[in-house]
Amino acid sequence: MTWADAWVMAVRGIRRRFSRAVLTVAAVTLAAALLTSLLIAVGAARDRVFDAVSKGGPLTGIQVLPNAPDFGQLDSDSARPADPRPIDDVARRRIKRLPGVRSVVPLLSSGVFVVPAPPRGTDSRRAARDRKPFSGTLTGVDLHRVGELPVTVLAGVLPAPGAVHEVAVTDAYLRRLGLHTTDSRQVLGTTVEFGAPRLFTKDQGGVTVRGRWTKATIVSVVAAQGATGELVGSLPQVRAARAWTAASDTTGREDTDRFVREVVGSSRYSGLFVVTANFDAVSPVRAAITKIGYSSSAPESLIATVRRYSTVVEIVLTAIGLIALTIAALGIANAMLAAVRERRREIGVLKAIGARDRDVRRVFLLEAGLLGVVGGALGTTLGYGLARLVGLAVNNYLREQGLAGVAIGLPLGIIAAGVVGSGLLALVAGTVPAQRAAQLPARRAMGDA
Amino acid sequence: MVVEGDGVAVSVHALTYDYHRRGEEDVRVLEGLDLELAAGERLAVTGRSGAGKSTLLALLGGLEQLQTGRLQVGDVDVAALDGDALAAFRGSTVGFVFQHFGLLGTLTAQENVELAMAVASLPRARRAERAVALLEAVGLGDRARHLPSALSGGESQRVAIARALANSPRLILADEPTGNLDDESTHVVLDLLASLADGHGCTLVVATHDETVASHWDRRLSLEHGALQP
Repeated sequence: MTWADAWVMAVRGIRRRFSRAVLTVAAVTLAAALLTSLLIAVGAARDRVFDAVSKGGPLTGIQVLPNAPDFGQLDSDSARPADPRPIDDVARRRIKRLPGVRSVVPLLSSGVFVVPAPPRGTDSRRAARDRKPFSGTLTGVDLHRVGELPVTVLAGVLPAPGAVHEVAVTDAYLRRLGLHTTDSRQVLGTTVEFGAPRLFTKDQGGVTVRGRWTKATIVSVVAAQGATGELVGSLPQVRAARAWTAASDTTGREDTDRFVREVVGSSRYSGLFVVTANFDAVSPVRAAITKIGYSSSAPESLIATVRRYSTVVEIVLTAIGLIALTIAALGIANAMLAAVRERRREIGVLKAIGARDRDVRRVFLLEAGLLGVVGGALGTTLGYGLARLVGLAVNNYLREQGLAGVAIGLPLGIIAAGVVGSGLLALVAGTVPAQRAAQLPARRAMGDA
Repeated sequence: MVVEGDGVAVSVHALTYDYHRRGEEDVRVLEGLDLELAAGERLAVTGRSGAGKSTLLALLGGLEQLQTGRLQVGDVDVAALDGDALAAFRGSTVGFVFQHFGLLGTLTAQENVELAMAVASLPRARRAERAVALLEAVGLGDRARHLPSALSGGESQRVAIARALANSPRLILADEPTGNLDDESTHVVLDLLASLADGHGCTLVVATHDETVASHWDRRLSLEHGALQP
């Protein structure tokens, strides 16, 4: 008997016991759906945390501070800065050339006075209270390269790279106004004023402070991991603020000189954000940065711990899916055994007309495999759909928490695991029934003698 | 003419067969049975239920392995065959007709006939042509597309006869072929078997408990106490 003939026999066998086949396929479908959705969930979590790591995303970032390193810092994720040490372009280029470094993004910051705008929809009494000024920090980044920074947009769109009258605010700004990240949209479109301080010596002695005030529209709310400050703007905005403050009249006064250093620092850059090519490069690059002479910090220990934890979760979830699929395979075995019992005479007839044991075995294995593959294909599709639904809920939650959403994809490996895996497991499950069918004596054709 | 086979001589000597059932005493159904059949001869084996007629046919057709004795079908020593060789013997030399017809319910009449040829790996194109010719030969050319559930008992048995002839067997073994049929269908089926056997020279063995059915055949033997009696 050829494979094609065996295939026809298998399909007819399934059609003949359609209800049972539907139930069997349904069991495989549910199990494959469970396995698929779990694998997708695990994969999405891996994408969220670790693929970004392996592809050199923000989590592979190292913050470099304008300070000399404390040589014990490599044992810790936190920077333990020693004396101030300016970061200049020479240092930036040296770090950029280090092996394993993908990009270096300079950061500028400047202390500013901030007069917040009342959130939209607040009453006049509260509006007056919310306009209470505070001392904050304006951080400037190259907004063309914001994708390389650990910045997540919670609401709105980022300021245009060269814009001087648009800013983003952070969750720290929201906290100042007593708002939660879920209230982000309330501050969009409002106008915030910030002023860079400058010291002037008065004619009669003493010092006075005058601000260089800028009005800017809040166009987005961002979560900037590891960054301090309330406002995020473009580099030109911060340079202008720093230049204004740096031009303070501090001649001969130690206290005013210290004030300027604290506000703008003595470094060309307030810091660097170094992105490595992958997670494994973080430690050697940090060591190299230390050798160059700067303190740094990176969440490498945390990530390594989370990665280990995630691997355990991955194993457990995959095992749950496989257990479900194994139970479904037992269902296939049960259904096939029942089919063999019911079709003993038919099997006998097949043998009576010349079918060999392996012909009979082939028919039953094809039946089992077909049930498995169909169930696997349906289950993979269903599992993908379920994962998408769960993904929507998870993304809503993540957005509320100020984190980026997860992308739900269906990788080829999961399709293979769902469809091919189900088919193979079904073949294994069908082996015993098929063998039993193959070994039935041909005499069954004449009844149960 | 759709059946090209010619009969085969059958020689049985000292055939003994016991049924083994776990926990029970062995039951001997055949004991020292001898039988000589000439090529193309037609034989009716009669006997009461449980006398061993079906067992004899199963042994002759290679559905059961011999325990003791000798069985020669043409130049084939059936006792020496097992596994695939025995399956090949059944597929190429023997045609079975069963009391319960043995048609596969999921296949049409034509597909049931083709199945025997599929097992013998005959090319698909030749199968259809030959199956239609065989069904026409048994008078069911217009029922080729029907499932067994749509056929009467007599029609089903005629399809089974067509299937038995599919691979041009040299030995046809019919076990109570009219056991489930009414009188009219019984006559149709017996006439068909006789005409096909006469026309194509197959050796034919019919097992029946019905003396009327046995009377259709020129040679009759009765199976009693495990051996054939005239």
